[in-house]
Amino acid sequence: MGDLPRSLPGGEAVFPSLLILPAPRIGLFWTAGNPGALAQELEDRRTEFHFELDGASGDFRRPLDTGEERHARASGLAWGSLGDHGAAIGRIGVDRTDVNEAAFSDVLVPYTSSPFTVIDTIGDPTNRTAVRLEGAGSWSFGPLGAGLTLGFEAQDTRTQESPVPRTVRTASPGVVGGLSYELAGRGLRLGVFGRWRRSAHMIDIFSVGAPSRVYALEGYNEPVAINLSSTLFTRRFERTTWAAGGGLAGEAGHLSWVAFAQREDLGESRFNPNANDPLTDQWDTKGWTVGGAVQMLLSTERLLVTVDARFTALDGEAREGGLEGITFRADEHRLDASGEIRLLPGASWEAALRPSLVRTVRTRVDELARADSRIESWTPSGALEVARHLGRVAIGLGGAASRYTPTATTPDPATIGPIYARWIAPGLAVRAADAVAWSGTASARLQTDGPAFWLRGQFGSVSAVGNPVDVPRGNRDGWTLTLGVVY
Amino acid sequence: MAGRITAAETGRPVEGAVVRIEGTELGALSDERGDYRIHDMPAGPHVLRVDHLGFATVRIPVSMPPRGVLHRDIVLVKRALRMKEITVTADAVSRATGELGTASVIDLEAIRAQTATSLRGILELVPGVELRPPGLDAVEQVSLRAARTSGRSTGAGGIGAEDLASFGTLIVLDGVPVSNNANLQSLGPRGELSFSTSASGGVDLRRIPANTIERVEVIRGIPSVRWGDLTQGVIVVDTRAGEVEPELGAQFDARTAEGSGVWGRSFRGRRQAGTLVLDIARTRIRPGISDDDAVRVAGQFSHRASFGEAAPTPTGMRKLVLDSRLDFFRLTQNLVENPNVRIGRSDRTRNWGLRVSERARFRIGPHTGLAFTGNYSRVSQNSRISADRLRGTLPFTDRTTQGRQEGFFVQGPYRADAELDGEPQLLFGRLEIEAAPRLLGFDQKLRVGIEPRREWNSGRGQQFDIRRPLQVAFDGVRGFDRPRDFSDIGSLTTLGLYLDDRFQTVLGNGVRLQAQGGIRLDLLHEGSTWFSRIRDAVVQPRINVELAPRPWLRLRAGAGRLAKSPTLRQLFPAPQYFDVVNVNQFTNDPAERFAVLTTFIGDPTNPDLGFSRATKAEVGVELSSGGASLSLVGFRDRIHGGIAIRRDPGFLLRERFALTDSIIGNGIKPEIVVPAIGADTIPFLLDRPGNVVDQTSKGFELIASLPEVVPLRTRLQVLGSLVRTEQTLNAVDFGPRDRFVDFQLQAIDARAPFWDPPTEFGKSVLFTYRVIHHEPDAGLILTATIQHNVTDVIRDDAATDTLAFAGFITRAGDLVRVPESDRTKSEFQDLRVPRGGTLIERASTPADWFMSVQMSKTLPLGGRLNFWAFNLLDRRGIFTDPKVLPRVFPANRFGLEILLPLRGLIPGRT
Repeated sequence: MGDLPRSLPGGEAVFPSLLILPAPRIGLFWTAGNPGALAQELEDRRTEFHFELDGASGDFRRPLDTGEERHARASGLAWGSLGDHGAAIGRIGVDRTDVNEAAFSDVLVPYTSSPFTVIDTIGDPTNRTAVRLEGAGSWSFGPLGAGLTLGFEAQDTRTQESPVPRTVRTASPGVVGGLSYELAGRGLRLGVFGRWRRSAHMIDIFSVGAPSRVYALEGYNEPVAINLSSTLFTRRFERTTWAAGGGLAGEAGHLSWVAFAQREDLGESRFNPNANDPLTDQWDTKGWTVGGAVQMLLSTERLLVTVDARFTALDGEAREGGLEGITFRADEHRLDASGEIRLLPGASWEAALRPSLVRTVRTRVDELARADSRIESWTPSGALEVARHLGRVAIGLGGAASRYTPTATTPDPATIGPIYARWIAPGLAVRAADAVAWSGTASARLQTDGPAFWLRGQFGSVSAVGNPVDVPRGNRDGWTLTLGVVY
Repeated sequence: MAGRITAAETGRPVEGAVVRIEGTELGALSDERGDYRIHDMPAGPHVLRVDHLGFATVRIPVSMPPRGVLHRDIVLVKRALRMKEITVTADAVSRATGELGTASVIDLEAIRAQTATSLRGILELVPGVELRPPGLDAVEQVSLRAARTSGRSTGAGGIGAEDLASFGTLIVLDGVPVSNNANLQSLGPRGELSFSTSASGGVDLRRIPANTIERVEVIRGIPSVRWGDLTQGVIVVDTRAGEVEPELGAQFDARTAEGSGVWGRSFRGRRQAGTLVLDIARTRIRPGISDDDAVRVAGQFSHRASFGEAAPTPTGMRKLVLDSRLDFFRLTQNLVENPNVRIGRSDRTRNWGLRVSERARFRIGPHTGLAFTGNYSRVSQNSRISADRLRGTLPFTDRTTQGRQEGFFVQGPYRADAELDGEPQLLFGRLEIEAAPRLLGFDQKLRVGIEPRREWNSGRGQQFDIRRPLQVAFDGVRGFDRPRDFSDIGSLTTLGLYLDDRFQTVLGNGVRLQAQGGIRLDLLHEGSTWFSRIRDAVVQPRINVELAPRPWLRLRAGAGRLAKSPTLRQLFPAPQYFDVVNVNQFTNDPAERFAVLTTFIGDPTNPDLGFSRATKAEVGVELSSGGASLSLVGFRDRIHGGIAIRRDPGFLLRERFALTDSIIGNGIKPEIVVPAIGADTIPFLLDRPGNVVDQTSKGFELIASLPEVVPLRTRLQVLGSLVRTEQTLNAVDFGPRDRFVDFQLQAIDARAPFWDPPTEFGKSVLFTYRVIHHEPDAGLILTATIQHNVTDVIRDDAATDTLAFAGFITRAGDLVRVPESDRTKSEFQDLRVPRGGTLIERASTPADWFMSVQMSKTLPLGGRLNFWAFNLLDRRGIFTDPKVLPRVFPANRFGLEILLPLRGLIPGRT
């Protein structure tokens, strides 16, 4: 909410995960996240646990992206009805990340829409423990459904064996409340919802064994180095996000659809919590999202077609502590559209084709540096997955590819300064260069009398096309191995 | 045997119900269709038991035929008041066993629902105890009914009201006190260095793992006379014993990993039971920054045996019941040297304890019994500290007796090491006769007991290389430490005698009256036996009365006197060394360097030191009806003669000598010419323990458990505590240490002012709200806990103007008081200086709060998975505003905890 992270190209193609996930669902809860509709849209039960190992490495990355990293993740997910009028869904995940070469950033997602990012010169191995817990409950009272979602996410990140230890701590609780009303006899459901989320993000850097430098990036302006020597550097980010919206969903025969819109505000402040009455940098965004989905079961009742699209726009303004007026502006848009044609299981074959398109337009203006950038991009992608059932065993194979094609105008590094050229410009250069990504997956599933077990492997790679200037050569490769059980 | 389990209200199948055949290992889980199937059931009569959270337990007698399948469908009925089954808080209105004073009782269910690594975490269910994240990060103590004060009036390492309260809180583990009286693991306030220690304070609660505890009773009010050696309340801890299903527990967060196991089984027709409990925990104190850690290994073996026939009484006690316990724990804390983080500094403490106790209860008659408790415990303590020191050139002596000798020079960097080995031991016994006669028309319960106790420490003591001392800067106040052997330290020997009576009766109109009163005599002996001369004695009458005019209303009041013995450290303080420099000639040529020092040894032993005495009084009202209860208690606790350091002034004689050769550069080392050519005096302060602290705490405690809001399945509990504490030191205040040192070293200053000590004031208003939501169908319990610090005040009440001085100290160490009317006279002009060292400006801290949550999910067969997040919003508190007191909340932490019953994992072939 209120943010459009600028991730590294390559993650746009998503596999349908035929043997692992159920067919896509749409609705006020499933598409718009309105918990008030959960009891009306959920009838089955599902419990699953999975354990996942994955890793990523390679030279194709930006300065604030991590180097070689490994994840071990355990998670559980369950949904089901509560009596005749209630339903609940919840999941918990625990994640351990080991990064051999840390990002030079203290924030977990360094390329957010916000221009405020703390970076340092510490690249030592880092461990992160994270947990995510969320659950929604919903109850129907006749045609009215009411629901509440509670969530909490926390992360604890620490350098290992570092002469300049860095600890980063994040706690993010969130609440969503929603109502849904079924219009009798018309196959329509009307829903409204409100969301709130707060993040407290704390960075401590102890310069005890070696000198270090910290830079507080504030857009495209050349930052001033903060030299640490036997001192403690502390920054705290506090982010509060609000959103409110509504949606409409309907069904007619084998066709179901949903449309929603939400307004979202984000306010983030960054300050030194150890100072009395500290200077505070402020980042505020206002945005909106509209989206919708259509799903149709064709007459054969084995072909399920799903189309999903959403568009988000946000305007952001930054104010630096101690300065008057707006110092940085962002105007960003993102369109995500995807479709899926799925041949449902019924015979021995199962298949799905999933094309998608991502369009982004990001205009960012730094009033202090008098520099601006505009990056427009198209990312078409496609994923195909086929599965074969052999009695209790099923195996699946899939492949996906995407191409990132930007049109960009970025500031000339030579006109700003060496810190900009070292830390900021390469990030823009990567987003301004064509990139291509591909991935493949293989999975197997064993159905027992009770639970089903599955194993899945995936490998992917992304790299720039050609040899663009200031863009790292080579690939960024990622792999995932997942073992799961579904009840 | 097979069948289907359904819910009565909906007719839907019930998945995950536990079906067991009582008395066998056979069992099964119902599947998603509600079906269960148990194979190989022996023919004959059985009792089928079905359990599922949210439903009433069903027990059905069945008769299994020799062949075939017995079909039996089972219908489960939901519980009418489900929340009654869920206990995650302390019971507000129940009583500790055998006690009538105000108490909080925390049972096994509440303990399992509380995320805690040690006893300290469980005590957060008691009013006034602040929330902390679980872990073994630092020494953990708890104080009951006392607000924090500055502790400044007792000097460096001063004792605040909270310290005194934790020192006076009695911890009783399985019927036997856990004592800290013989703990000598401290370098003391004179040292420049210190390490983590609980010496002279309350018991370090980290040694008692939460996972091994079955029940905790916190007697906050007036304890019965059975309990001695305390000034505050009693925390009675019972560990798990008897027949316990095997269970494994594990807890993980970013800092702490803990594993525990418990298993107990009965044999010989359930007349005997053996239980084994083991817990291992490790906390990384500053992960990612250093390798500092704390590790605990704790275990217990218990054996219960009963002999003879059961008595025809409700308790059904057998003729003889023996309860044997063998406890051990090992707690280490390593703060390691790290070239990147902690340069030239490390310390390590290791505590290894063994505790053997035997409780025997012998039934003499239907209502008469004899109980004996015997205990021996020993803790091996080892502390090491190592630190790089950098000195300017200073003369120093290694003399360990009084007198004068040539010194040497300490200069430049060196590594100072010290090692402290202590072995505190406790021998405790209690013989008690219990009878239940009917006297004066009342049913009485009489207890008469004798309680001998002896504590001593046989450790090697404090050892270090005297030529690389921990501290060398003579300032007259501290002097230098010397190695000390604990073998010359005597023992702490006490004897307690008590008589306790409790009765109840029903007056007219159904009004129920209960009273418990008694008298206790504690004797403190001079020597090491109970036949040696009595050093101090204190008589302690105590009474509690409860009147219940209605079944839902109880009015209560109590008053009593308590006493706490001094510790070994206070009875036998270390000698204090003062090394006065007579000659200090430091030259470029080492051959010419020459120093002479005179060593004085001060004996700080206080022959008048005795018990700290306390009086406690409280009144309260309790309401309980249905699922709601309210307890409101007002209290006033006073400590008279609490023990702290009293700084006794004196003076040292510094002789001045002529030298035989004072020419620098000739390469000749001079000698002193005796006799001295002159002398001056240096005032000094001897740190002598004394019964000098008076403390008064008064306030209110509130526990309210509101009834469940049934449609929301939600309940609220409120713990509230308002405490005001005042503490004064019956001694004089010499101001900040550096000011007194300046007076000592400036021989031209003839006198220096002193002041009457400030009154330390503390106030705390703390509320803890717990909201408990329960989803029985999903097996979920969600607990949100909010700690609301309404206000905290720490202040020293003292005049600070230039006329506030009370008198002056001369260079001969004499104290001369100046009447208030004379302080404006010109002859006292030099004494009219502003007072320092008191905390008078920053008064209070504004209200603030933080919230923690815990989600508990039941697992099949009684297991449980807990997720917890401490300080969910990562609120930091206030510490940057110079106008208010700092209050820093512990940072956000999160973790998982799982309890797995082992017996249920494979309930049998299905």
